Amino acid sequence: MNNDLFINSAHVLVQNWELILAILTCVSWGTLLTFAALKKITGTQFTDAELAALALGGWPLPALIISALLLGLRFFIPDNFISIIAFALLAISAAFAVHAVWKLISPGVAIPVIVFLFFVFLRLGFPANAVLPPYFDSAMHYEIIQSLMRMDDVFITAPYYHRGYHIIVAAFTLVTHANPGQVMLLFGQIILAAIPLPIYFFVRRATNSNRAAFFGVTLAAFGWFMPAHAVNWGKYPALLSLLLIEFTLGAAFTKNRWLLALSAAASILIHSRAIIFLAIFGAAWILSAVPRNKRILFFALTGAMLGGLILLINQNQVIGLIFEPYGIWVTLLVGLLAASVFRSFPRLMLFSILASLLMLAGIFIPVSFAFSLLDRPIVEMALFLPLAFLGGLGATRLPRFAVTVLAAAIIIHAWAAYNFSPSDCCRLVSRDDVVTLDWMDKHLPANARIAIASTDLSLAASGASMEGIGTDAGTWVTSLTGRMVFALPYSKDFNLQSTHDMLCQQQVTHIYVGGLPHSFNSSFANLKPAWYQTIFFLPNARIVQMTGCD
Amino acid sequence: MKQKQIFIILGAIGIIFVLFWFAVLTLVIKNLRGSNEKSAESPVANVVMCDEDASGLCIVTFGANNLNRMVINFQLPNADYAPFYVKAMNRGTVSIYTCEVVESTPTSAYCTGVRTPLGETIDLEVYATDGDTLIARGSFLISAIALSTPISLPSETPGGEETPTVTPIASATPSPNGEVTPTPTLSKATNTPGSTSTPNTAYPNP
Repeated sequence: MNNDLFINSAHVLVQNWELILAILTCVSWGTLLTFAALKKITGTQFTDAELAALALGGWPLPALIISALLLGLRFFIPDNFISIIAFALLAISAAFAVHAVWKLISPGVAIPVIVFLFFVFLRLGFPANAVLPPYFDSAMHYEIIQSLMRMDDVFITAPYYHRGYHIIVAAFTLVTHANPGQVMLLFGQIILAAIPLPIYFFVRRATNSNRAAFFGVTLAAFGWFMPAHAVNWGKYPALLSLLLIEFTLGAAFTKNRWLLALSAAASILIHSRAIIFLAIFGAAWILSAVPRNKRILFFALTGAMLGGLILLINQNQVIGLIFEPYGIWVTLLVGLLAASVFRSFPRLMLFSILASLLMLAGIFIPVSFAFSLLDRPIVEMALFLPLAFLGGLGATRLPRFAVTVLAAAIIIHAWAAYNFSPSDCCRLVSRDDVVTLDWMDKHLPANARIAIASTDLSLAASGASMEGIGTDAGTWVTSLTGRMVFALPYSKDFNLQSTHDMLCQQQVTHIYVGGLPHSFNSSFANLKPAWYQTIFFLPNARIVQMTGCD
Repeated sequence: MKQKQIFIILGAIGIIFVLFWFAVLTLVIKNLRGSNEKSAESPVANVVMCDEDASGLCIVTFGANNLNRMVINFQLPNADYAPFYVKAMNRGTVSIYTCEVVESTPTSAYCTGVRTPLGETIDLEVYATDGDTLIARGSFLISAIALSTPISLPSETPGGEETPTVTPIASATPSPNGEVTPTPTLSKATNTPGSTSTPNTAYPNP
């Protein structure tokens, strides 16, 4: 399954080394600034390795601030000067940060950085087989990034409620003049590579054990399908927000209110549901301190959770889906390890279980008819956090060789079971599609209205669904061509008079027919030549023009 | 003592890491050298149909546009690939195909030119626009570009299951002599109408 991973990674690295280097420079700069701030605030309270691991979760904070600043400056300064200002700001702030920590730094800081770079290399194989970022979410993110770069309709494009990720990518793309799709793909993988690192901080803080901390990192990186599978959903803002949520939780240890507030605000700006996660972790922390007999409560909660889940999995398909990426063997191992060290960390165990339970509960708390406090995908993505933490704590008592063997087993298991390449589930765009979309952009009139294939997708535990979601590359029409789209069920019968009448009434001028199972059936154009005419054809994508409308 | 252990571990990880990167770089340089040597021996590359492991210039598919001109979909080895155009030879006539790179995906390009008769071989030569030098060539049998190929209606089975229909499309497989022969491809016929009763699940798991 992953035989070509290293070759793919090397290939992507060679093909995109300038862009990867630029992204890593941005990440290194953010990490350096965060590390320097943490070091100044905490002094010798934490080890450099702990701070470096935490700082690898905090780099989006300075990145967001400078990105917002650069985009804001575009209102007053020509674009050509923005890059110069960006480089100057980066260089000056980095120099200050280096000056501040130069004499205080120890070689320990390199350990998390080396691990991070190794993870980057592993994750870089993913874009080798991707034409554009996956799934329909990516098309929306692409469009928002483009609108931020154009600055023409920053405040009126899609009523989207969190834009932190888009601000960072838009500013980066502006400064580097890179291709936005490629930036999204590579940036996403680098976010993914950073996510496991802050776990080191939490486990190391709790256990004072390096091997337990690295075991936690191994679990977060390779233990389960998540969070890596989330890039297949184009959930880039949620992933970036998860990284900053980790940092915010770590910042709480520093007891610096400004850092905590700033980090929390940034994570919420990147993904508004971060506020729910932060509230859940806060509530779990407070609640875990209350009961005196934590052991009984822990086992009662664990029992209740398992029992409840077994019941719910049968009754509610959403809950079952959440646990699909969490394979039984690794999760069972984590459970056993955690139970074995309960006496040493009763509050932390309780905290983790409570946090997991509250996350799951969030799916069932409605905010409106269509939305609940948390949705299934985001809980699915975030559940690895308490699990990896529990696993890390559980490794404390194990002998060194056992930790090494278990970590190796987890990595081998990941290699054998998890796909490091794009999943077939979510690839909507083929090379025929990108050519067809490019042709549309260049040849169709600006006021063309394109019918695209769509479906309703269930999301919430209540059964509410997302309506009119693009099911093939048609979902990229607006993002890449700027033409208006009209979403229709992919099973629509275009041979019916009523369908043709409806399309005419809706002033649809063209129909995008992709090559996926959930694309429109392409045969209609040949069957009704009086109504439809194929004007562009490739085997996996075609454009059909509407005719016969009065 | 503990610090010493950390340094030893750090050193070990560092060495492994450096060795790993060294191996990767060696592999990359070796490949680059290999390809350079290859290109020194035969400067004109062979254009073939793309497969999963395609790394050089290759053809993804053939198609057609509204002016009944042929569209050739190319996959490029990298985003910085030199601008090029194509000369196509068929029945002794040479036609020029102009090519453009896809803006959103710079490793994709398509060339447009005269549509050749189906079932005939077309000899393609790819020239760099800058310097007009031949960079690649290949022969292909264009068998089916289904811009207006009539196909039969998908029949709906009583159980409502999807029925695949055979639709001739411009896919191709390379033959031993370097030419490309057509392959009929199964395309799925979706069920006709009726709104979907149960929505599919958003964000599918692997």
